[in-house]
Amino acid sequence: MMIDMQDVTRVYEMGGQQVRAADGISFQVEAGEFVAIIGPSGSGKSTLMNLLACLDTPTGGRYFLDGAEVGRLDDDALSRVRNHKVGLVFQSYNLLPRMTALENVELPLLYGTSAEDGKAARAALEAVGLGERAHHWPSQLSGGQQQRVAIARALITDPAIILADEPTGALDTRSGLEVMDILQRLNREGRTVILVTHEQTIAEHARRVISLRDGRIVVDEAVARPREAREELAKLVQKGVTQ
Amino acid sequence: MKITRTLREARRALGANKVRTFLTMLGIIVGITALTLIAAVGQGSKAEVTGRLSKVWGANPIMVTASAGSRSAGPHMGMGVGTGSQTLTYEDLAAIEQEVPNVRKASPGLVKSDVLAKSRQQSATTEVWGITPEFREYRSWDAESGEFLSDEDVQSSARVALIGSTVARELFGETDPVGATLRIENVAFKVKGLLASKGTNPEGVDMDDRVMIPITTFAHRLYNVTYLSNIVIQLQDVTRMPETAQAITKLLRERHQIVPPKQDDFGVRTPEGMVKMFAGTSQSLTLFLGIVSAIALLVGGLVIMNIMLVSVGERTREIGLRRAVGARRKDILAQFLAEAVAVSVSGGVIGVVLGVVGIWLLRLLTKTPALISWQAVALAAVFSVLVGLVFGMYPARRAALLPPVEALRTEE
Repeated sequence: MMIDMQDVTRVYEMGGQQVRAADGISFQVEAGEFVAIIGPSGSGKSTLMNLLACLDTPTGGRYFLDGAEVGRLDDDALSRVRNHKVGLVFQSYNLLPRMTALENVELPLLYGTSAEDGKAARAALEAVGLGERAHHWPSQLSGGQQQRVAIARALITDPAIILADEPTGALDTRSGLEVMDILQRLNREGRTVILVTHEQTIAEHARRVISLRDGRIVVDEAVARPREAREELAKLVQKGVTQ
Repeated sequence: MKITRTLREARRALGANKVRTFLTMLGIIVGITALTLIAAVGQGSKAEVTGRLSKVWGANPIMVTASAGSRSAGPHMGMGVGTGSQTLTYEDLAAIEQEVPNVRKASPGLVKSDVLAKSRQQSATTEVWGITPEFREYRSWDAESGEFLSDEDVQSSARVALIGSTVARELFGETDPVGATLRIENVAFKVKGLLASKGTNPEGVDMDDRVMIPITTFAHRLYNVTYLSNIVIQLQDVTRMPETAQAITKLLRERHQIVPPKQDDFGVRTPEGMVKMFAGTSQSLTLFLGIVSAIALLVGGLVIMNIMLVSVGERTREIGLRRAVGARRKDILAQFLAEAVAVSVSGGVIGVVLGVVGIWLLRLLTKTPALISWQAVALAAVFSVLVGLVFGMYPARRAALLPPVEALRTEE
């Protein structure tokens, strides 16, 4: 079991009032799954995402990530988990502007214990089709390219799960599909992928969709026929050619 | 995180905003420049004082002088023969040499002033010193022409003399005195050497108005005395001079059976009083520069703290991202501390360079004694690292303690 959440709650104090951003969430994810978490804003998506990514810890319930209970870890151990086990992809890419694409990809290695070197970072960039842009600055790359650099960064420590938080939110349709294509490919290669989105069509690229509302899971079901980003891209290109 | 990588990142972060980085350094630059100057001026005046003192005093000796009565025979030379106490003896000398630690060598001396010396043509009133050959070493005072007194001269109570340039001029005019004969108390002396000129000492005494003869000749052939006017003591470790001087005082009080209220019949003189007198002149300059550098370093540190806080605020999202990809609190702390220290050390380096230029100008324009020493550079290095660490700590801690979720949520 890759992920095992048991009745997890996350309560915030806000102006003297208690906000139950996650209110008794339980679900499991097996290794190799592709799960989308969907819901309108305020449904608790971001809270769940932060908990899954070990950026935050539950106030109630138990969360096991790859066998370890996250709530029991201290700050250093949480940092280590984030470094080794989770690869994060953000809506706004979060590349550091003063570092080249290659250096951005290498960033997690700075904080790791593995002996990976520059070769791994270059290979990761090549895997997302940006081998030639290794020494470009983020400002010299398009949004789609920046997001692919961010995916390469998420992959560099060879984590068990990729967590993508609205990865297509800032991108045009085509770049978004390219990103989804990469995520689907990673999943086919055996990587566990969890995708957080508010768009139904993006969520349908996953093989399982969990719907959230008011901090609770309302639907948890398999997708009968997941969309194939590769096919959609091909159609898009065809349309562009014929027009 | 590896230290080299941390430093590289710090350099890059600082290089990204060069004007700001430079302005941040300004306070440190001023402070370290002043600090370098202080250390150099301090060292310089100390060296100058030591230099002047060694001219007058030789290399750091303690002098025990016989004293009593109201008239001093020679400056700091103890009571002259016939005028002072007669209690300082060779036994005292031997006791000092054997019983007081840190004493390398004790040498006896006799002095008599207002002595009439005559050449064939002229006569002059001068001061006669009975000395041993070690005098040349502990006073660093040699013969300019001719030869210095030898051990043999002392053993045989030879009737030879060294004369100062003032005496030489008065007795022999412009002719070469070496080899000539002079008479003191009707005893004929052969002039063996002419002493190098020392000029006037800080107390206004003409140091060249002297005749020096072997101490044995002084004691046996001239005046028939068994006591001493002074004992010059050379030390093994000059830095322990105060303790040694105290030990000598204690020993002599015991030997001379002096208990209060009885006054000492001897004096123990160290060059320290004179060091203080000389050092006073440059003290006001040192104090001024000290205040300037302290204020500048404080302000410089506060500027660093301020700018680092701004920088932490601007880079909150970067901090969040680094935490998200696995940076521990201590990694973030190290990163921001490294930046603060890099700023202050760079400022320190510039400050040292400016300080060295300043020292050069100071010497050129004001003749202020100033020496560039490794101590000054070490002091500057220590202070600049310290300022960076102390004032960088608060911003760095703030950065390290940011909760990752909130840091990531911050708008850029």
